[in-house]
Amino acid sequence: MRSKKLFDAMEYVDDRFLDLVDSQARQTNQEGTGSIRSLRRAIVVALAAAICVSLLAVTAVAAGWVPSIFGLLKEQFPQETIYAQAEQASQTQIPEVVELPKMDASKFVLSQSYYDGETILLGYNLEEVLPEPVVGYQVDEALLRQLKGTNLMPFGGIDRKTYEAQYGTLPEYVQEHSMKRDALAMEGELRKMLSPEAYEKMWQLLVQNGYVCVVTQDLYVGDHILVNGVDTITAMTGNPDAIGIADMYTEAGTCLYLNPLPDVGKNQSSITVELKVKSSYQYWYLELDGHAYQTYAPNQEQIVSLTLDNVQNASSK
Amino acid sequence: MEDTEIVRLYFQRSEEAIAQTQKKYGHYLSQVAYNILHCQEDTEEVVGDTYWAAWNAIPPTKPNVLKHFLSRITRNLSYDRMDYNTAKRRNPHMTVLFSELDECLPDRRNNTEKLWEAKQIGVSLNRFLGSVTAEDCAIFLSRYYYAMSVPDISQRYHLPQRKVKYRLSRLRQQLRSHLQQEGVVL
Repeated sequence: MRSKKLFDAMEYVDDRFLDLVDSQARQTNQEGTGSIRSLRRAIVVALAAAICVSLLAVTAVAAGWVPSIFGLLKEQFPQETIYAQAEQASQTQIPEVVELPKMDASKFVLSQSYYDGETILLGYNLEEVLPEPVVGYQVDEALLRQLKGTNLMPFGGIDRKTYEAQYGTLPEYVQEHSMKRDALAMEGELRKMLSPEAYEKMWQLLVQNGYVCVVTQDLYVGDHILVNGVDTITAMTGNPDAIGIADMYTEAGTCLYLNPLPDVGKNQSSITVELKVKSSYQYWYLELDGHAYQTYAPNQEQIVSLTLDNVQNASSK
Repeated sequence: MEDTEIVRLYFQRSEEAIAQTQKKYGHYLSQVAYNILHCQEDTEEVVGDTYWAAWNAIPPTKPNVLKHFLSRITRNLSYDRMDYNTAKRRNPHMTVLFSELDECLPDRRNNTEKLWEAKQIGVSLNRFLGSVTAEDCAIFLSRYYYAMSVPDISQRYHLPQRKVKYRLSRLRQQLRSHLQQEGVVL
């Protein structure tokens, strides 16, 4: 098999590239938790101010003062004309805010949308308002088995030098208990994520019991997206080359890209798109002897239904 | 224990080297093997063989990064075990991985597998990995070096599965044209 030859060649991949597999995962965790915290704080502390800022931002986008999601993608991928077309077609659109009551006061904000009969683009933001992390969650046998069976911690953990580069000076607790590798990586993540009080409580429980479990929550749009009632993933089945569905991230928000569409979604005058916004629990289980396990479990989900008109209708009028 | 100390134990022919390797990298190597074999029994045997292969290789070899040195041995032994297993039954997980990489190969008609050694392709592969972003490099190697599943990569990098599939699809296309440009024929 010729592809086996390529697999064999992987043996000669430089160590510096293999190092990236772990360091990128850590960086992603760091950025993810950081952004969730800062966003939560901004919304909880100054919700009214945030609304004002949003309104100003919408005005700024409409006036062309700041780039929109489609506008940023147009600049990033100038060869892909779809973003320029979408930017042009969505200039007069007003953002649509969908409340997510099952997820506290979180909101799904659709800033821009585009449908031309073949492709759908949705420019959106998830405004997350989620409960504070629970420190000292009681772990039963079933959860412990799940944690140890589906551990999502990056392989190998980190050393002290990396810890200091990513999270700051090594805390006395860590030095005192000679914490290493996986445990060091998780401790750093939790230190970054928790308030000083919650972090202190975490260490008290860890020293007292030899372990601690922290539970956080996460919000995301699920993979199964329905176009006129048909799952777009089904439309891709059997065609591994099809790009199908993709999230494109920009500073202004996320762009959901759908192409090819199921037959029922092609060349319609208007279509219905149903997204499933999901929340999940993230479990962080840290042991004082150096083990660390991470897993997740689904929590709530809520369908967001959107109706899009074909831009070809407007251009033919 | 630091890697340099473990390597020193190997050089001193102290069996403590294996115990320390197992303690520090046992879990990691098990994951590398399990991603390929999807069988706990085979995984344990392969990881055990990895320790003895390292024992035989060090010295004279002095690994730059012990972790990656061990992971290469585990990968090789896992594929050998998989070849042995697939002589009897097919492993659908790996068949999917191979079929994805097949599309990167420029000339499907030319049966010239022996013209290029894996090392030469590795050099080209390193040039390719150096040309993509750090995150793309990590995603690519997670899939094709560590044989991780798309859902696992998605969790690891906090990306939706569709985003991972999209990125892998693009990377395969880029690798295909990179290999074409460098004249790599398999």
